Amino acid sequence: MTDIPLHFRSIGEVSTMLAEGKTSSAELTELCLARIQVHANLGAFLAVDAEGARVQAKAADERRKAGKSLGALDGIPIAHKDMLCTQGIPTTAGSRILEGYVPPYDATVVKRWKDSGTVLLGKLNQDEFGMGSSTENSAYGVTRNPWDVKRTPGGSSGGTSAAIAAGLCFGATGTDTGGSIRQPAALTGTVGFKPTYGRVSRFGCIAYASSLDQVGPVARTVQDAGLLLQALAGFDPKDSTSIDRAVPDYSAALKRDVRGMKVGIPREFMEMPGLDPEVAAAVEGAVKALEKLGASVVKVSLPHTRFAGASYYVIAPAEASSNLARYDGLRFGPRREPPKASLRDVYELTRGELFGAEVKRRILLGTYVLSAGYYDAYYGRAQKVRTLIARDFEDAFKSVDVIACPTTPTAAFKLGEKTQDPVQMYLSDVFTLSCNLAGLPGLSVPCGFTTSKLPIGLQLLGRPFGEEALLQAAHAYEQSTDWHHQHPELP
Amino acid sequence: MERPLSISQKDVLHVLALARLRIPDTDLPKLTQDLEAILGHVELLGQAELAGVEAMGHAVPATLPLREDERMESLGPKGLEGSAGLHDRFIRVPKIVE
Repeated sequence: MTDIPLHFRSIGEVSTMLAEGKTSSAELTELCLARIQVHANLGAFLAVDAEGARVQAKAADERRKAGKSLGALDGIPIAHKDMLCTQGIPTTAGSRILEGYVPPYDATVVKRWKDSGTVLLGKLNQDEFGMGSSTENSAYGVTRNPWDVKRTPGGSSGGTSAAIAAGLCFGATGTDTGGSIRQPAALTGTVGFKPTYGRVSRFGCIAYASSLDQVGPVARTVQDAGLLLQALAGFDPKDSTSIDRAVPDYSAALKRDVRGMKVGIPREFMEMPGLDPEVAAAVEGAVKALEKLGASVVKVSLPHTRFAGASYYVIAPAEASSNLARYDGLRFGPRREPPKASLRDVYELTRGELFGAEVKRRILLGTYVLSAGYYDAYYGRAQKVRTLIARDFEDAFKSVDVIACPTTPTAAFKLGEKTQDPVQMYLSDVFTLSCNLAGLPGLSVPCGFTTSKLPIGLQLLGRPFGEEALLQAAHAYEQSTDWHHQHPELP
Repeated sequence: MERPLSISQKDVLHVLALARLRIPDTDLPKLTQDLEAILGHVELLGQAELAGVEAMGHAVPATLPLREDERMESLGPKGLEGSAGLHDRFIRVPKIVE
């Protein structure tokens, strides 16, 4: 493993190197800063705080020298999706309506990684307000997939997944409302983890759909994802949806094998129209590998899967139309106020000009489905369908410990391929949405490549607060393969 | 599920007003077409059997937690610094009372 370049090493490996004095946080930080510049064409970063990062790296090295290291994450260079408020560092959520906005506070998750000693390199590109599956909806330019720069890295956490895949940082946050951590992780050959709803604080996370949003880590290995999640998870009194429940030791889960574990394969997912045969074959291969490791495979049914997209694309826009009402040009971000403008003019012109097309579509859709005469027909029905989807999973988990399925129907698609038809883009979330509707934890782990050398992701879904079982299964599978040692050919 | 067979440009203008969004007239036809396509996608909800099913607003069974009514630190004036209309300790807005 010594021939793997330093920038592609895992947090686990570099943390050991730091402890043994074989590298320093300063060296790792300079390496990342240099790579971010060299690979600026990927469009992964929106803001880089080189000076701040150097100060933090120096402090980490001094702590280590004084025998006061804060732990495995101390001195590790990381980055945050631009959906998360970072005090003193511009935060835009990928939107022009927050251009120039500098938060006066840190999101809880930002503070937790800071308190663990990580070095913050900067902010990562994303689809505007989390709305998208390709990062092509960012107001600040696209992000490119390091495996093929003519393709998207997925979205909305595309900057996050690209930065990890390209070795620009060692860990990063994403947010996941309908798959926006897991889908880009699958398309870039990285590990992306969406925790159970309520496991990780949303305080300081710019809201898209409040009953669906979750913050989670993206990393190059399952062990790293577990380490990063450990530092994020836990009750936060500042988030009224944060669940007060003890956080287990996730590293202990990695020591357990999968003998006796029951892995469910949902029939409806594997028979989904549009599932690429290479993706299906890779996922089936991964499930066979889990069987060889001692797990047993059980066929399960999630009969209301076909309604998940329709339910999501009513509930999420409805919640977004309410959440994004705060962007009115008055309290944050730029304002459009021509001479003699009324207050209503300021609202309409600011929002009309500074929101992107997809955000406007979703706000309008959400407003429509909540409007008088349509509320019961759309939103009311979507919420009931959500109950049915959650029940399907409850029933399935009576007979299995985890559910295995594809993360995405295809590998990474070309830039511009799906931008003309919004519904085409929505279909790329078909395997990830139901997990958010049911509030369950889910992760994506690499499980192979297409013949065009594009990564494929295996998705594992768990019971509420079943993160340990997911880490256990994903780690066991990962360690039996070589996928996590393969990296894009970048200088 | 009852709704008009298509969403008209008039409907879209109504919703634009509700959402406090203004777009160029030239964008209206494409926007209407896009919304029509998305509504077509969600029409599938009409096929679900929902008799006796309760609506789910939240994935986790939690109730809104309360805290003690005690004074805590707040952002104070720092919270206003992001405004493009900051004037002393106030945010300037167009006159709303004639």
